[in-house]
Amino acid sequence: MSLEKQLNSLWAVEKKRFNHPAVLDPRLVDSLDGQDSAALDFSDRSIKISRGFVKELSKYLQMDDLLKAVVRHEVGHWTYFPRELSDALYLQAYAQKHFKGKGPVIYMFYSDLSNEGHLLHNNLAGNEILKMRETFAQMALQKKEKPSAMLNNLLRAMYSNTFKDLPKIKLDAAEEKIFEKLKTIAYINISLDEHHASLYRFGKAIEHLIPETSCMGHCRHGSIDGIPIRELDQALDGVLQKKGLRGFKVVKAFIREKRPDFKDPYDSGHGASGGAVIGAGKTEFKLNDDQIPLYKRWAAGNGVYIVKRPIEKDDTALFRSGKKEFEVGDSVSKTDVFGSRGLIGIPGVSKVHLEEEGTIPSIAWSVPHLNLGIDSSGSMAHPSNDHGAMQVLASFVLGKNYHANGSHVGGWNFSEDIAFLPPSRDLDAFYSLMCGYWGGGTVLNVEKLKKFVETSRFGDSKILLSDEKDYQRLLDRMSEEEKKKVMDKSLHLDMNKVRAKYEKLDNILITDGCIGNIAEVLRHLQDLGKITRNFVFLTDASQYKEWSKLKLPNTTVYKATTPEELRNVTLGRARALVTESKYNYRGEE
Amino acid sequence: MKSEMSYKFKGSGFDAPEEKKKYEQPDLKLSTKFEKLLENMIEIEKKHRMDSDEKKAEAHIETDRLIQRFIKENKIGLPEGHGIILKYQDNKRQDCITYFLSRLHNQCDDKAIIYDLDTDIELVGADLPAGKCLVNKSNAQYIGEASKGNIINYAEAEDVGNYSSGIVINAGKARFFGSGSKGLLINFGDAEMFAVTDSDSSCKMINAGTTSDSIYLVKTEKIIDYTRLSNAVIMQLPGPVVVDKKTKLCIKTQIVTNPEFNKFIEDLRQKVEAGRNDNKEAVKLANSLDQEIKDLDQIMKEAGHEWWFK
Repeated sequence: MSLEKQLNSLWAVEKKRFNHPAVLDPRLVDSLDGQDSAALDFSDRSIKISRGFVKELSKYLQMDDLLKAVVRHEVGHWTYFPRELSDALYLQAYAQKHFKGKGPVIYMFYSDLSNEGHLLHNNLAGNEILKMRETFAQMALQKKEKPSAMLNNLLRAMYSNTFKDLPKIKLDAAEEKIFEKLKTIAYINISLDEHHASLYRFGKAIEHLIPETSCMGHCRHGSIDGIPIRELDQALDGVLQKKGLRGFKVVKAFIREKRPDFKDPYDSGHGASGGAVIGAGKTEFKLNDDQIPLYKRWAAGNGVYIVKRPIEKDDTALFRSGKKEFEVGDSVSKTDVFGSRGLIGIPGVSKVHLEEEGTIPSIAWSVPHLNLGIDSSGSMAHPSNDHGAMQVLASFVLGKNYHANGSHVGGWNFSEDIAFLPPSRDLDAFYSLMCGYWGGGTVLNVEKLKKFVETSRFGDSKILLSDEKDYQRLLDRMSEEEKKKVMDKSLHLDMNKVRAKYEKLDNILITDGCIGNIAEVLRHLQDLGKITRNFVFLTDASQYKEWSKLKLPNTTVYKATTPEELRNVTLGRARALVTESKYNYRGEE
Repeated sequence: MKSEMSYKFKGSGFDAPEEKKKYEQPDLKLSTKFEKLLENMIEIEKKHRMDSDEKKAEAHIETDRLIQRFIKENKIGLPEGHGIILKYQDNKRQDCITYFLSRLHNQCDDKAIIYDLDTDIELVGADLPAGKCLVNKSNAQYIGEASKGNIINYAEAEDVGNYSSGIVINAGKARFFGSGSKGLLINFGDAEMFAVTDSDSSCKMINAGTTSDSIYLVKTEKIIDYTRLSNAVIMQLPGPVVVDKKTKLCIKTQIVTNPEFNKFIEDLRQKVEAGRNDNKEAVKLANSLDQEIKDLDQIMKEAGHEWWFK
């Protein structure tokens, strides 16, 4: 039987055992990029085995065992480890970070170890794996590659130590010394952190065996050449969701180094860090537009359900605007009966009304516009921070979802001063505002904020700024009695002027909760609660507990200390509405 | 019957593997033990309530004992300990993980410790005992706080070498470097504020890097400003603050023009730079740092700078 036929008949059985994995049928190739080896190619999901490799192995191993071991091993890389490209890239990037030039070899041996461990554990492979390792060791010895032989023997010993039904492996003194360290390492892991820890310990135990310059026959293994850019991009998404900003930065740098043709699709068209708002040269407010791509990508994985509410909205409507002479094809229903001298549908004699599109206010259930307040005082993390800034992520998630629902997005970025952006359809302007950073203390100038909402025109995407003199100016204009009221925080806000505008908005505040004039802010929220919905996202766990107790009207408090807490959030009284609908339409249950 | 059917997936075209093999992974036992240790650490914290310094000290003694036993019983060396840190880097009790790491560094057998895990740990090299040297390459909030041993920092931090009494070399980026220190501080990197507030009179400082808007508020007179920063404002306590308005340099900064001293600083800078990307070089430097400083003392002695030893 030819080699191809043998492989095909084996694959027919193995495919079933592995529950039909989504890889192409294994095929024999003349050479694997100049090497005699076998590999699972992530770029086209195919298993390639070089003829030379089979020929070499067949000197030591029976063909049946040989093919079984090789096929099972390669399918294991698809089914068990690394399984996900994001995991493979993450571990490869950290292997390089921890072990520099030796990183790729350490990763490849660890990858084989973990993969074969899973196969043995799941009864999908058996003694043939040990035989294959033994053969590798013999081949390495023949080529006078002692470290490679030692590593293959050590892998065998680890399997034999873990699975007691496998034959015992004899090691020499030098191997025994390393084995003492290796035998305490877990390699049938599930989580990425477990793999990272084991990879680090495995590398530390064997790094002295690996020569600086040689790739020990693994030159092409783990290569990310040929993997489609789209898949690398998706893998980066995966790393960001699983491991946060720090891991993402490490992996992105790794991909950029290995694949110079890789360009982050989120990167284009955004400014640099540290820019100031045009026309406000002296302000402390700094934009960080270079961070926008990162948070855009991070927010892309998070969805929010926004419950609609009845709000006054401008619907399109047709109004009459002038007349013209009837032409053939014009609708008869638009005829101006009185201006047509009783003659309907006569060209040149009859008249028809012209119509123009305009807006008409109507109340409809829809997603309100977004008015999002983000705290960027010194106590909040900077957007370019290593761990990522949760308040910025939360604002991007919310902005993206409101925008996708067809609403305007805008808000205010505050510390002691305020940068205000009227709600508009310009999502990039919103992102830019959210990435901005003031630094300094937190005192929310509520009066100024109200003024901004009152005077701004929705749809204008231009950032407006307050300065520290605003408060002073406000106080200067007041009588002594009024001043005292403001200083004592006993002034209730007159919301009537801005009522119509606020009714169209969902009012969201993202802060760590440490605000200097908290009583005033709470009163502001209380006043707003009578008109619109308030949502407060707190990035500090202890402050979340405090704020949750407040029971402000029409205000929901959310915890936003980790990215996970921003997933599957519902904004609005979903549960209450369900209860109400039951009460209204079915009677009390 | 039902369970048998669902287990074997009969007729579904998929032959489920036989029952999984039983296997032993010693590390899983280790993880269980470490999780137990974390639980105990939290219990101790609850028991002592930690509302006074005395109670904190008691709790620390008790916790230290537990960690010591854990390290000894499980033969935890640096790779194993760092492996645990990587595995539990996202644990919610970061304070416990951080405390474990600092005790691990203090109690392990290695004299030179490299910490380059790139984790989110806030505090690295706290209370390092004398005779040890920690080479830090991972960003953290505090590095080498109250350390009696030596610290070489390559990473970014808010504070480096606060209240330290050993040798602290900063080759990274620090906002505050050597606040309240009693030891020897050498800056090759970027220290926004160098030895701020009440650094002890025995503190020695050499600035051979950059210190933007640097303010020295120190009791010591042993300050060598090697790079001669024109924008540095140097103030000394006690006594009136004397600042040269033109150069903004305090007139009390010691001027050392000895070529051997210059050579020493440049040699040391090269060794520090060599260790930035090469852990072997970093270990070499860490092991020879005490000897290097003895050489410096010798140079100062021969040059007749007696103030260096006061």
